[in-house]
Amino acid sequence: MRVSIIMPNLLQPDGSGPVLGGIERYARQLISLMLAMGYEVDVHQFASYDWIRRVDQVEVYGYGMASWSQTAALEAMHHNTQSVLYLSIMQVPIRYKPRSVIVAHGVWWDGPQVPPSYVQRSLEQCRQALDEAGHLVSCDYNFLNVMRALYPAIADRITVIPNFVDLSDFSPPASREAGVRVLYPRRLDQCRGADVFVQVVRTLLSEGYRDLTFHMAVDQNHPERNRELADMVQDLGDVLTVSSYPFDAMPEVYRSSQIVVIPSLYSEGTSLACLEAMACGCAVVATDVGGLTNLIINGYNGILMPPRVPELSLAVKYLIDHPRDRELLGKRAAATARAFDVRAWERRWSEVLHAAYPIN
Amino acid sequence: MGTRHPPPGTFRGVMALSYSSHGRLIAMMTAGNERNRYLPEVLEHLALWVDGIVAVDDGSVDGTGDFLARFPKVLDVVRNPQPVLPVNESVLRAMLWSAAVKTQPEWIVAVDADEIFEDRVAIELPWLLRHADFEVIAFRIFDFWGTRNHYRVDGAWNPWPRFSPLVVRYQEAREYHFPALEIHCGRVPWECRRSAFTYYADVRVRHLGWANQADHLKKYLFYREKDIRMYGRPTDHTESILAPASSVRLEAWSDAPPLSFAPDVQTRGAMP
Amino acid sequence: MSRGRVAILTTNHFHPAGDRIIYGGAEKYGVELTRLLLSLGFEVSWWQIGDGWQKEILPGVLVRTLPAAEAPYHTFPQLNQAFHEKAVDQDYFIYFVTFLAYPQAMDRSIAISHGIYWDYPGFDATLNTDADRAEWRRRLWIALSGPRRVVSVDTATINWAAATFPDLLHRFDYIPNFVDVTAVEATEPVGKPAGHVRIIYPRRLATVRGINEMVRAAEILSARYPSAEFHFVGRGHQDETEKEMMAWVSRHPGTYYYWLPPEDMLRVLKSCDIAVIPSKAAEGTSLACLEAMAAGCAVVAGWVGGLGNLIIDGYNGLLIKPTVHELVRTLERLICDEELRATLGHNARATAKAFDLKVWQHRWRQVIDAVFV
Repeated sequence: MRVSIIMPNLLQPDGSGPVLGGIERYARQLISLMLAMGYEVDVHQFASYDWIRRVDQVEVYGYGMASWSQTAALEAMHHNTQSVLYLSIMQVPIRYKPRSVIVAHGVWWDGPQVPPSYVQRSLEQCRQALDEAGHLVSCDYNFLNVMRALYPAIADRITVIPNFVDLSDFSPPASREAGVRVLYPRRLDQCRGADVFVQVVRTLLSEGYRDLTFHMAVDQNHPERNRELADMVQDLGDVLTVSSYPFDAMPEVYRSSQIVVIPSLYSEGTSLACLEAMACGCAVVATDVGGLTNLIINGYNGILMPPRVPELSLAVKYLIDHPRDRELLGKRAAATARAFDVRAWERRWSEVLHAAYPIN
Repeated sequence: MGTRHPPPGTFRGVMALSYSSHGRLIAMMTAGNERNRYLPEVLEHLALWVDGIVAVDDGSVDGTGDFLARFPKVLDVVRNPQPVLPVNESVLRAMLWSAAVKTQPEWIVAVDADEIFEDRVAIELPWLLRHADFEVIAFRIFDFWGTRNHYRVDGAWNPWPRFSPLVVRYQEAREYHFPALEIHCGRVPWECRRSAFTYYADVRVRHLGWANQADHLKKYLFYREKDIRMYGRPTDHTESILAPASSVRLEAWSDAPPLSFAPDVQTRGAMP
Repeated sequence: MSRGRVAILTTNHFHPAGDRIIYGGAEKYGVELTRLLLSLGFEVSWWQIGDGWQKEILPGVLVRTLPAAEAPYHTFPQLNQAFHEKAVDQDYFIYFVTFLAYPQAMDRSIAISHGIYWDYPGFDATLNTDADRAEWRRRLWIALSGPRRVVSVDTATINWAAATFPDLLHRFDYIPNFVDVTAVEATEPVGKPAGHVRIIYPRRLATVRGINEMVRAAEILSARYPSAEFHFVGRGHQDETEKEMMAWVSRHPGTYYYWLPPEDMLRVLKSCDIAVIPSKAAEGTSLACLEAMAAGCAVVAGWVGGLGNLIIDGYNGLLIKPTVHELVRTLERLICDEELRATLGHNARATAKAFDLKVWQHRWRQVIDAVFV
């Protein structure tokens, strides 16, 4: 039984290497599960020219057509495939193949100053996905809530499978070093709040918090953004460091941080980074945006704040000043993260896959 | 199967133990020639959940008065040599009320001589009576019609939309009165009938007065005469007493399963 | 020295005819909010729809009435206008439900959103055309943008607003509902037969709250598990519902239907092993769910609205799609797994503390201090 995954970019458009992002990690995890279940899997994605790559036992097909028409590329993909799983809701005109699984990674159009036409278009794309999907899997309850509020009659088709964390990789350290490091472990997209984090750092520094370090573990997907960031924080010197890490180095990065800030402004599902930070026993400050609110209960296993610099600064200051509470929140974060064990995620997904793509 | 529905006998035994201290609850009732109808079973059931009973014997000639006086929990019986109800109900009600408040109750339940509360009243009422935030408790009353198993639901007989205030908190400092109506003046004082602090209870009351078909004509004639005196003609509701069977809609009664809350249900409730 | 006069506008705390207490989540919220305002030194008055009676919601706190009826698009412009005319001597204002701030909101005002209530299929039928729906949304936008701040009991509403009205982003404060943990812990449970698993549906019986699914699941499971008790505790939305439930429980051994005042219900709740909140829509951060958590029940909740703010699936409860199939599957698992129940219940009790009344009061104080100056 062959299932083809259609997604924008598992690999870079030129096929040169992986895209490091949440959706791509999700894809890898799902592919690995599908192979283990006995499916044959291939991936079809947008590209700048036609290419084929082999990644982890799976053929990845890049469609060069996408550089001038993503819709044409999708049509070609449909022509080349039978059973399809859409790794995300498509943001270009498309007719989904019947009885397919579509994955929704959260609301993406909830940013500030978004033109109403963009909102409308996004809602229409979601409605269409809901209408045409055989199964729609949502990574958080927030997306489901929004869909239900807009399309109550068809929102029932959604199954929620919250995101995952691999507890064998991400776990708390035996003991944490003394000293406080505050970590921002996200991409440099505007929606992830990198600038907000920098402003929080500046706020803390201006209020005399100097006995600690700030670190940003970011991606390199868009080098110009890295350059902008470097310029922005140049004057902070060693107090704020920025690095990029291969994925398997991340557990140590979390373990050596006491406080993790997830200052997402919009377009957030159940952030994998947040789950990983929790699993490593970090004290998490997150914004009450998207699916983050499904992970953190304010004051129990983390702190939930509106996405504004003063409030986020207050939360970080609190954690710096109250080491016992920080430890308690971290301990509970690790305990709650167990509920998102990748094994549970795999069990839920295998149910959906069995139902959608029956293997004889 | 057995652990959930102990036979009534055992449950009633448990009922007597299930309430703990709450304000004194006195039942008040009027009775006119009820000795050979439902009075004995009504009193027996009442005795299981009230602290005392006060009654007015309204000119009975069948030994109702003596029967009441002899009943263990009856604290006082006011005897009317002649029936007052046919003359003026509000006078009767006021008489009963003064007799009841003399016993210094904290709560009074106004029950008729042909009415029985559901068994679960013995578990739930003691809890309700400990509350300070309401003054009146209202109940749905079900009129059993020609049988002890079915109650009437057509027209104004439908019990489901109506709750009647039957349990009231008595406060000595307050004034209470019954509006001067010959009939249908209500069982509880006017002040209790429009209280903002009325609790609507789930406990149901079985009214057996119509359970015997043979009583219907006599009661019809009584109400018909009253209606003519008060309104000039019989009301539709009174007329419906003699409605043909085809217009009478009945529903079957279903007992509420007894709640297994009583503290010692573990020793007494479990059974084969 | 009074800090000022606060006027709170609602549709109804008392039944419009003034003769019945309504026990419900919103009413509880109103009482606690009033207590808080009084303790902070404010004078408080309530205003609702009614025909001229006057009552007290708490000693010394009057409820005044205004003549009004509901208008199209689920708003009350008449009530809003009458309120602003009559309450001219007041300093600060609270719109107890968001849509009451349409069309006009006073300057120093706070609105409260108790959750999304338009996410069930029947709601669509109340607004027949696209134009109607657009008008409803327009009015809601005006209502949300008027007051200084909008307190939301869940993040679902905030997120919905962000996904629908991008320019309302920064006026919400997430203050989840509360539970008085101390009171719950001090409550004595009622008795329970040894070896029984007691399961409670602790809400009003309403379709949107999953009563039909729960009844069907209870039918199946009570037959399979003689030692399981299914308690349905709450009034029906209609007399008909209550009638049907009473008849139904008499036919199914192991099922019970009744209702009690809140404090007594708490005693029952504390004796329960499992609490089921199978809501399908229209749910904020349910006070009943929080009470069940504080009481140490293993909670099974529908994955709806603010329930996802309270329950982390598999940690302090289970979040499910509220269908019969899922209910049966999940309840069966819990009935048979005492250890899982104990773990979920233990964690529920721990997380409930994060929603303690004191926390709620503290958060509200911050908003009040920011707006009522």
